[in-house]
Amino acid sequence: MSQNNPWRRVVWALLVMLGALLAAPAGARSPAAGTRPLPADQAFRLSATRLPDDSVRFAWTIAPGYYLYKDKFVFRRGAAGLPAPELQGDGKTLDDPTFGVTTVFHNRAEAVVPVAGGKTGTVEVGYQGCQENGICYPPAVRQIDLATLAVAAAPPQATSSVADAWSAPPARAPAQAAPGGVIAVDDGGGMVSALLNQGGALVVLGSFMLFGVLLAFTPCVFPMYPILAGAIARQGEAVTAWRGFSLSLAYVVAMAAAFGLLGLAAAWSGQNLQMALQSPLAIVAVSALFLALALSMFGLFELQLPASWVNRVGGLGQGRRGSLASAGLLGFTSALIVGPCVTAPLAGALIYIAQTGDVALGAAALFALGLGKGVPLVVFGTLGPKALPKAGPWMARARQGFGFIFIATAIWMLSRILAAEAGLALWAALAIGVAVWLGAFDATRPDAGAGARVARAAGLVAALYGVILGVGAATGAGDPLRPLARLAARGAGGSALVQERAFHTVDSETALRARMAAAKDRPSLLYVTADWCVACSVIERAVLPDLAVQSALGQFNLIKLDVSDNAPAQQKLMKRLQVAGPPTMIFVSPEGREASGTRLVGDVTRATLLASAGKVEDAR
Amino acid sequence: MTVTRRGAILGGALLATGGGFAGLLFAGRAAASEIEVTKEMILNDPGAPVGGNPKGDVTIVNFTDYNCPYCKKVAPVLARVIREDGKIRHVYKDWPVIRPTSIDGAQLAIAAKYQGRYEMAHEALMKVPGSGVTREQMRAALETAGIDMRRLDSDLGARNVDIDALIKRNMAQGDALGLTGTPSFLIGPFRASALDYQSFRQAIADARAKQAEAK
Repeated sequence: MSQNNPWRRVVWALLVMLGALLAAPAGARSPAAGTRPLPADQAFRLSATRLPDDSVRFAWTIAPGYYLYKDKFVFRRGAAGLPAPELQGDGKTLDDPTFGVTTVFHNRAEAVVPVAGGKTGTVEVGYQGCQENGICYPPAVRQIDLATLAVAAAPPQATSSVADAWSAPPARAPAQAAPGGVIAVDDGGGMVSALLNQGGALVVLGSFMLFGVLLAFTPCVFPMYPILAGAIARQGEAVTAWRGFSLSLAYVVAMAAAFGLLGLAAAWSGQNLQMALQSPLAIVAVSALFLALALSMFGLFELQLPASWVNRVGGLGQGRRGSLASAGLLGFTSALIVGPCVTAPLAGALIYIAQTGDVALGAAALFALGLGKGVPLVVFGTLGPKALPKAGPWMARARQGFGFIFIATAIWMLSRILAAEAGLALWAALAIGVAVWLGAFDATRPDAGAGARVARAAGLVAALYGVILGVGAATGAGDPLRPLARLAARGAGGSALVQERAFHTVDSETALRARMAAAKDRPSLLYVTADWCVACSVIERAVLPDLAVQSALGQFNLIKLDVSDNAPAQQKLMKRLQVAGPPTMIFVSPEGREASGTRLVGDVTRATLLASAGKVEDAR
Repeated sequence: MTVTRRGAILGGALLATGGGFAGLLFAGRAAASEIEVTKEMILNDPGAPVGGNPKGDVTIVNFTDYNCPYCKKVAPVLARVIREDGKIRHVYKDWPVIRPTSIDGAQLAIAAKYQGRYEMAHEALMKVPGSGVTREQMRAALETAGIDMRRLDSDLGARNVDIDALIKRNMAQGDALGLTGTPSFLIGPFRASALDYQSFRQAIADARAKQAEAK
């Protein structure tokens, strides 16, 4: 990587980041890892046969996973070298940065050497090869007696008893899986150490900041705009761009600090904060908060921090210092709202903190994530006050619009823990509510303007959609985009639902081991889930039933690790597998090794799941 | 002289290169096979360069060759594992078996030890790609890396006997262990060839577990 070109770094960091989102980057693979190399004469079996025309054919049978260098064969008779014969075999030219360009033989190699009038004496043959991704052998020399064509055995190894002090490392066969854990977890340690390894701490921070910018366009961040707008608006008429900038910056920095603290808390408590963030209690609380925000937007009460807080924080409760501090306090608490949106990068940083104990970098990464998320907010806060038209009746409409967005967000959160059809029913109600608000059912006066007519049309569309959603909910459908799927399926004369492939549920390492042993030579997919895990229910509802996903998973031994109870055995297993929390999907080879670069953490989509499953298939 | 395996290997190298092999070890083979090899000398040869954390709780003995492609592939991985772990004692055994110039590499690297730059030399030599590196390429790599070449040449001369004796001890140790090629690692109580990052970590964890068991 060029150190001189910062843009390459940025581009690279982005690529790595996206790659890391899909999966942890691959490390060096070593199929031979742990297997002791064969003795040279077993890796390369030499035999000699006499041909009718006074020549001798030398043939090497090369064990799978081993090769001989084409340019290292040497033939000698007595003191004299023999002319280089033509070599035949499964030649393959390697062009490897470490090796340079070399031609090697796999499986077999052969050479016919003329030995005029030679039925006495010996021929010496030299050759050299390697075990793929393992070792390279010293040059071998074997003597062939021309009378008998016997290949003289290699001189005995002068191995002494001292060799017994070392043994082969424990085998990693699937049945007797790795002693450190039932699955040999893929390296990389997640994206933070991958980024750190490649580009240092600055790349880590930069990447997390970029992550944040990407996350700024997820629904959880929307509510921050009106909150921030409210905080700025309270400054009265004289809001300059500079004032807007400093207020929004205070808000964003405080929000980022809350993220950093989250990292610190995670490191010190050693607890799985994700579990807390995803607990039904937290979700209900956040939904309630959104509902309250929505009511405030509809004018039921004024959204403002209690005066006593502001006083305490700001000292005087007035003036610039006070308002900056209250913007900060608002930002700090807003971080709670965004928490549920950041599963993947949050898990990445938390895994890193847990693995390395590097609290500082982990917390700094989360801080950078928060800052990144705030960039659009700062832009909004700086430009907003100028760009927005003067206060007027339109502001009330805008506030109500935001109110609907808040309600939508509350439903979006709640639908993760509600039954699918209940969620759909809520969406139906919201759509009809929006329709009413847009004036769908008001009478349109003949002199109404274009705006009112467009609004009414949109309202009617919303009402129609709401009705369809309601019908869908009544039939037990759950997908807002296909509310009538069940009716359609029924109409087509039968259930179109596929028989989903079943996961075997395990809850301990022993059970997991048994399940994997039972799979014999099939790869396994270990899916870590929990009943409180919101993203998991989305996966189970929207990703796993997909036909393509079902067929891709057909070859896998499907295992589900349910960590709902968060019992000690489950925690231990999660720690062994370096799982930060559900949802996590781990793809394991039949040998019990996690397939490199396939782990899925956080939001699993059809595309990422298919990509990982495909990689496992390719690697076989 | 009994035919030792090492003699055959070096003979092979001689054959392979038309007789250009440095005579040093060939002449010394009989003597090398008589060197007494003990576990103590494998782990704690006072002449062997040590890296990582000299007080670490797990020792990795690294039998390596500067013409060995997999040694070169694995070197940065191992360096990362050792750096991240922080408690690995890393013992270098230059075991020049792949090509005649491997011996040049071993001598140059060990000579750098006397100016306190063995690891710098080792790293530089491992970064030269390919399995047929010439002595000139090795010297150029060392110079670029910042080795004091004048000092190196003077140590190659003055410490010649010590350097060759260390290489012979390494050869004898590798033979006694029955190593088949390079790279070969002793990781705590385990032996292994080239490993990937995760396998190194796993082997180290296993070694710690086994050492704790033995206590």
